Amino acid sequence: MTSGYHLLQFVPDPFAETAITFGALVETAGAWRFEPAGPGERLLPPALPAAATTLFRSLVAELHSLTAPRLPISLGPHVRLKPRLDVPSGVDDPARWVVSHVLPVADVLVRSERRHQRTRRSTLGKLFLRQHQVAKYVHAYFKPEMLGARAHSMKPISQYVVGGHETMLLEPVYLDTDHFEQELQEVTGTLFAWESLTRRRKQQNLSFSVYALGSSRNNLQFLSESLSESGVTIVDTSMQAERQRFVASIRTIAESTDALHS
Amino acid sequence: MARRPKGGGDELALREHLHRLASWQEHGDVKVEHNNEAKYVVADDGSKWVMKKVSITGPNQFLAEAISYQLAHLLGLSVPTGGVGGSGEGLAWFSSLQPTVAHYSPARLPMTSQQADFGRIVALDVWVINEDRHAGNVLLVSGDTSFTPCFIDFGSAMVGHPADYVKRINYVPREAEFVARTVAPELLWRGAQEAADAIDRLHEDDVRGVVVEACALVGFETDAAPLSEAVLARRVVLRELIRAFFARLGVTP
Repeated sequence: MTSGYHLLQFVPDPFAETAITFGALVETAGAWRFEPAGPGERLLPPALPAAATTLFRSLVAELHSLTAPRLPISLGPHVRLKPRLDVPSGVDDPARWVVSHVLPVADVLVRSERRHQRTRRSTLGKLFLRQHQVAKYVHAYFKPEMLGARAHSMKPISQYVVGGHETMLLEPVYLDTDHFEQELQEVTGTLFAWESLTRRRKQQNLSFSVYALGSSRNNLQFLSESLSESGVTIVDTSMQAERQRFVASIRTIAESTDALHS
Repeated sequence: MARRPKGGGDELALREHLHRLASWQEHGDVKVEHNNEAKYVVADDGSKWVMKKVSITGPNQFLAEAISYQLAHLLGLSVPTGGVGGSGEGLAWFSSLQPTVAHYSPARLPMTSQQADFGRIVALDVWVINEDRHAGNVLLVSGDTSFTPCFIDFGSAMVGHPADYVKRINYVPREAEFVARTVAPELLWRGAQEAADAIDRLHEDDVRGVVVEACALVGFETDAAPLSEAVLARRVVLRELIRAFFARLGVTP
């Protein structure tokens, strides 16, 4: 029995009908999986707006979870599934064959690197804080100089909340990003460095929290294990009680400044 | 006997929230499930729309769209601009094309702004008795770094069936597939309360005007008065209906 595959096309404009083949759903031993073309988003024309790239990334992330040759409604009108084609019989690795012989490969491209940056975790963090109406209390970049320290090369903490008696330092983490491990290293490295600094300086009025956005339970577990020997509080924002407590604590700390000065 | 639509955008002065399309070119089908046979069209002024012909959808669906979209615009809700073109059997409903969209998926929520809008649309859906809010009619419009919700397809709302709607002033809608189940309940509640406040502030004449005009577009003039009064009567009990709707879904603030 031969394996099959369906090409996937990104159609940024349904009127112009420009279709960009960016991957395929490939059947291997009866199981279907999404195989992206090697060049990834470099396939997208540079003239496309940033919104199209953001959309494309989101669609690709969703396609990785597909297990059947059918597109869910959530993918919307910009992804087309082409009719089934057969992989030649005798091919041992259908996925590799499709990626190597059917999908666009890097050496035929003349496109430059995409200029549009990935959405940063700090941007997603601000989005979360705005939704819950506490963004006005949260400031960006807590630097060592703010403690009177001279560790100029130390990365700042992404966000902070100033209270009358306490400053809350925050790092947002996006659990569902495809470069989670890299971000985890960055966040844990920063937090351990700051904990060490504040211990040396005997700073007692700082608290550290990481608030996790997104749904990956595996990555939340990695995050918890990575910070298990720290004093950092981890907030799973997908849990209603934790989320509400976290939002309330931001508000309480920030408003304690007002109370102090009133 | 089935009612035939008459009147239409050519004969009536449309209210400010409805665009009038004089002529257009079809550009193919909208290739998404639950699209109700919608087509992409380009108007002569270059604007792009999704069109649904009354000859295919029926006048009740048109009526539901016309009323719901205009109420949504009065409330400042995230819906496309609505439009009307043609007349009689050629009458069609148009909604402005939203570029670079996906449909709702819980996985996109961390990148979605204005999530309280999922609560705001609950208030309108309860008011017009729309029991068909699924991922296919919740768009997420892509921006540079995040998505914004946009709600489409009110064709199934019971307000498009005046004889049924007027008998259900206190009816709590059933939601077979409540798409916003994964949105934070506190955001849903806040959005629904804010929309209910805005609905309370609408002037009665504006609400009547929306209903009367929409009925005239499809030739349902005799339904206009009782339907307007039913829409206004349902507004009076709307907050309790919203509470009951959320309770039924197990959504607590």
